[in-house]
Amino acid sequence: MLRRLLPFFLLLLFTSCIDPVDTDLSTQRKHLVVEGYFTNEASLNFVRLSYSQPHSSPYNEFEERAIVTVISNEGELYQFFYDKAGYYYASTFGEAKGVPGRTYTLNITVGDQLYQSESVVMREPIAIDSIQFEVTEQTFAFPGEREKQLLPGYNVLVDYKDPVEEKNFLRWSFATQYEVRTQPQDYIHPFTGLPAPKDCCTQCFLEENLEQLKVIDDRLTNGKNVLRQNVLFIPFEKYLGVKNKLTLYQHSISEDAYNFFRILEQQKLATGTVFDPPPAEVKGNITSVNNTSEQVIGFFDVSGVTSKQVTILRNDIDYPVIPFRYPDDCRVMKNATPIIPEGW
Amino acid sequence: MPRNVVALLLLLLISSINAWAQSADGRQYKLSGTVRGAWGERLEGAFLVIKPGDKGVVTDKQGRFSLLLEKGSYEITCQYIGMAPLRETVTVAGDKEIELTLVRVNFKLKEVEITSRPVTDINSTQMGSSFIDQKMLTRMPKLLGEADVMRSVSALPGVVNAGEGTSGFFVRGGSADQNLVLMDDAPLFNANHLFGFYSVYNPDILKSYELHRSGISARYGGRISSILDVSLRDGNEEKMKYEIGLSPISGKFSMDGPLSDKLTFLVAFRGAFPSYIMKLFPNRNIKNSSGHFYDGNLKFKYKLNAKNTVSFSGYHSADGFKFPNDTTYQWKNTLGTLKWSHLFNNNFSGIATLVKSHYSNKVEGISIGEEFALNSGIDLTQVKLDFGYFGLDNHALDFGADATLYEIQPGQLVPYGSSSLNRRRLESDKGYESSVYINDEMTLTDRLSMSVGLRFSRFAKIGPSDIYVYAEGMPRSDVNIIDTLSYGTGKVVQTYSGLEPRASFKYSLNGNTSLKAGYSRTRQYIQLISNTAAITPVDVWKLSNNYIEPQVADQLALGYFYTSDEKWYDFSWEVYYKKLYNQIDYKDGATLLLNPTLESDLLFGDGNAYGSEWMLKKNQGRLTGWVSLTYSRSFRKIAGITEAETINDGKAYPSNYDKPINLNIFADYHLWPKWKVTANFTYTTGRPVTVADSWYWYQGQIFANYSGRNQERMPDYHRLDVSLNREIIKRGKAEYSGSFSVYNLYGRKNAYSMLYQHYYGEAPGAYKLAVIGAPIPSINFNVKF
Repeated sequence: MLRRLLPFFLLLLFTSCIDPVDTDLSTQRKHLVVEGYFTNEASLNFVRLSYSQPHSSPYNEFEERAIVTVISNEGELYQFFYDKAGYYYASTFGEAKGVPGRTYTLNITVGDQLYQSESVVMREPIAIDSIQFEVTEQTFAFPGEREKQLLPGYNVLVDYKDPVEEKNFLRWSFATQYEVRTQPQDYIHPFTGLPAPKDCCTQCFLEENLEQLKVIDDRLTNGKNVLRQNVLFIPFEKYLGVKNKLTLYQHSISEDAYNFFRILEQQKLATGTVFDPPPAEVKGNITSVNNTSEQVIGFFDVSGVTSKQVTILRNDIDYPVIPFRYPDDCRVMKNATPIIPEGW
Repeated sequence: MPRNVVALLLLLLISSINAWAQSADGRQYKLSGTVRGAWGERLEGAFLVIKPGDKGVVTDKQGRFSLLLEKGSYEITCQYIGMAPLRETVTVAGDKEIELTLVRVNFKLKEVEITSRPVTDINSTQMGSSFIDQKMLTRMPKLLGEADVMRSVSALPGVVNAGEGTSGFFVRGGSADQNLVLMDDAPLFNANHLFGFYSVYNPDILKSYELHRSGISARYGGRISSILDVSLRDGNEEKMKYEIGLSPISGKFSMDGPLSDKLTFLVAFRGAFPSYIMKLFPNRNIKNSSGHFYDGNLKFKYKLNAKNTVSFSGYHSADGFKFPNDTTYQWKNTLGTLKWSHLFNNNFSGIATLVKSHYSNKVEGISIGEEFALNSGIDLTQVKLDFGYFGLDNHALDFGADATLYEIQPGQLVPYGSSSLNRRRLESDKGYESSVYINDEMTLTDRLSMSVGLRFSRFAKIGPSDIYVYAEGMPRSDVNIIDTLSYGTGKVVQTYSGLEPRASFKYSLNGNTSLKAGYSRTRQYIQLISNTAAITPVDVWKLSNNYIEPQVADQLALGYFYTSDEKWYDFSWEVYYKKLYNQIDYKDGATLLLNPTLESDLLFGDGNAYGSEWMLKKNQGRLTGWVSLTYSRSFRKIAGITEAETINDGKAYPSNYDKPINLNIFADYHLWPKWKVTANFTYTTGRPVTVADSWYWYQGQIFANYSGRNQERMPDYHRLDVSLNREIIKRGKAEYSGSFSVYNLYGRKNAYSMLYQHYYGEAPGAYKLAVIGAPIPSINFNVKF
């Protein structure tokens, strides 16, 4: 809440500007980055391993040969296997899930190095009472776009009841499945610059996980019916052109996880103004067992999760949505398929 | 006030010289008197030279002086900044009281006018002080058409500013809250207007200000780094005067004059309205934002009789700023000083002062579901008694006592409408600070003099208060609270007290040069809890408690001072070393707002600072001005009992205020009889910043990996401002003046801060944010009638 007012900046009115500066690159280093999620919902559980890169290097580097396991205090063991792009998933899909109240630990072996997370208790999930939408305009960048632009869209708002007896910390994640209509008949050949209409295809379906760094605590709302908590912005363009099935996951996270994500969020919101807190080191819960002075970035987040799905139809949106323009075969879009999903 | 001290010291110096030079039969008589301006106002700091004998004396706060002379005839020359020197012949044949009245200098004399306080420096024990009067200030280049005290302070040696658009300043390695900022004796808790582009001081009614960085007199206390003592002028005793000033975004009006023979008044208003300019910006966030401030001063002075004067100085300001459809900020300052000056006899005077300072702050959120008002503030009530006694040969005594009550409202959150926020109110933070002091200015020989003082201060934090007890050996955090101690209203929760010895020495090598040394210990029981570089409206003040121990500083300074014959040049060189105790830093990602366990987000440690300051000043001629160069360092060391309470492995690291090199050049050139051009150049090393050693992906976004604190620096800061000033022109009864200035003439994009950003298609990189990236011209116009 109050954090949101900080990035705004009066002083921009005086011709302020942002320019690149040179930094000393000799002190740049590489660290293991662990992104681990373990919940009571198997489809949300994964571990991603990569390496942080010096500012001179623009490339990603993933760890592909690690042994990744999650162990509970009850003795259960789940192994995660490498898939691609740094992602590790449990093999027995559908079984690798936690039970609220139990404690879980992440172990990673890279070569002869062993990395271990602190043990984290899975907290009881908090139910989402309802989901609402609100038309708004926000700056947003689609993947691959250099600059953010101001777009109309929906703010996704949730209502829930905060339990009074304990301190609660929440995080949200989203899965969306949506239909797009494109214009292959308007295709322009990139070399000749001449119209080269294509016959197929205009209707495609896409699945995406929307990620938004947003965590809250109940310091100021303990025991209240929390109404219209803003959790996501989703632009009308592309996502809400026809139909969209949006699943919201509400994660009950630990206090340490809250602090971790909060500092990340703070960094993302930093605009360098007088109101900014100075940049802070983001301390995770993973350490190297063999070499305790090695810095490992990242967090093993164990959370109890509840979900709620809503379907949004374009026709229900009370706003003159401009049709999505994509003058090409819709199958060219990343992760798109022309096959109608089950139950659509 | 220190000038008082100077006067007393000089007085004693004189009397001692006198005693030493006394002839066998010579009986001495007291010559005392008052120096006044043409409008009857008493002039503090006027300098008198008595010939034969070349004795000098400076008037005290009451405009009074006194010295011992043998029988005979003397010529007295009296000088005061901006006034024509006055020569008078006096015959002493017994104790004698005289009255001297100075008149304002006329234009022709201006070319040889003394720009800054002349000649007294080398003879006083005082060091580490700078004095600027209103004339000087209004000549300095302006930003947005307004001369500003806070901006000019950062052009002084040993002072660096927090960055453009902030009015915080750092003195000799200390933080912004370690400066006691006064307006007519009342402390201010936020001296900003419009986020630091203006300050609370209206330059039209300013008399002078003085900044003390070392050798701080025992008379001052409460802050450990510096004292910025700003005085506003009183109403004149001659006739009604009016003044109007305009700049593109602000307007001012003031009037002053006598209401009766005994009563004078001064009233001033000021307002700024930048909103219409903001509307012209294409950026939506700026266009839909708005801001304003207004402030007013009211002063009365009532002369009951020759021995009693009662005066009042009041101030009120209101600031507002609104961000588009989201949040509004408002803050208000209300100050009042009631003062009774009494002259017991020619050797003994006293001042009783009652001070009230109230600062309140309101942040209002208007988003649906999150409507709230967040109120915070601080209220100060102070009573002071100050006495000056100079009846003893070779001694000038200053002594007094004060008591201060602080009441801080750290934050009260009031939700309304559909808000899902809980009402929340932090306990008010209350405490008493009291102190007694004595200072003696001693003249030991004609060459050696010293000022020795002692201050004793005591602080009591009082209830209602809940003190949380944390598990031993664990990091302080709300999960490690094992007990809560509740104290009722008025119950003493914690007390701190301590002595604050102060001493300074002066040894004259000859008539032109002197060596000085000073030591001071200062204590501070209130701190600003702010995790930003500047003082902003969301910061909270916090009193010392069981966990936050008082800040203490020990400073040792040495200096060499030189004034050329005819006072054309001054040169000074000071070195200092400072040790700071119980300094505050913040945990990574600390929560400061509405946090009842604030101490668990704070880290405590010690600091040290050292530096060398050189200043060369040219006081006379067509070209006047100064060059000041500072080399200084400032470090902090935070080594807590657990790793979470330690910064940089417990090793010393550069503090946020560590800017080693600081060069300031100020030049004032008399172009034609009525035109002056002034220039101000500043260079400082960039401030330390925490930088990232690599970048990484997390949750589909790119982040910078920061580790440690303050290991790199921002790019250097430099800036040139120029100003063309049209001096006063008389047309009938009215006097006109105006100026045109350009701030940041060569448009350097000085970095305010550094941040890491990622643009698609490029490697994530470091960027700097410049608040002012272009030259900013401004014009202003004043009329007096």
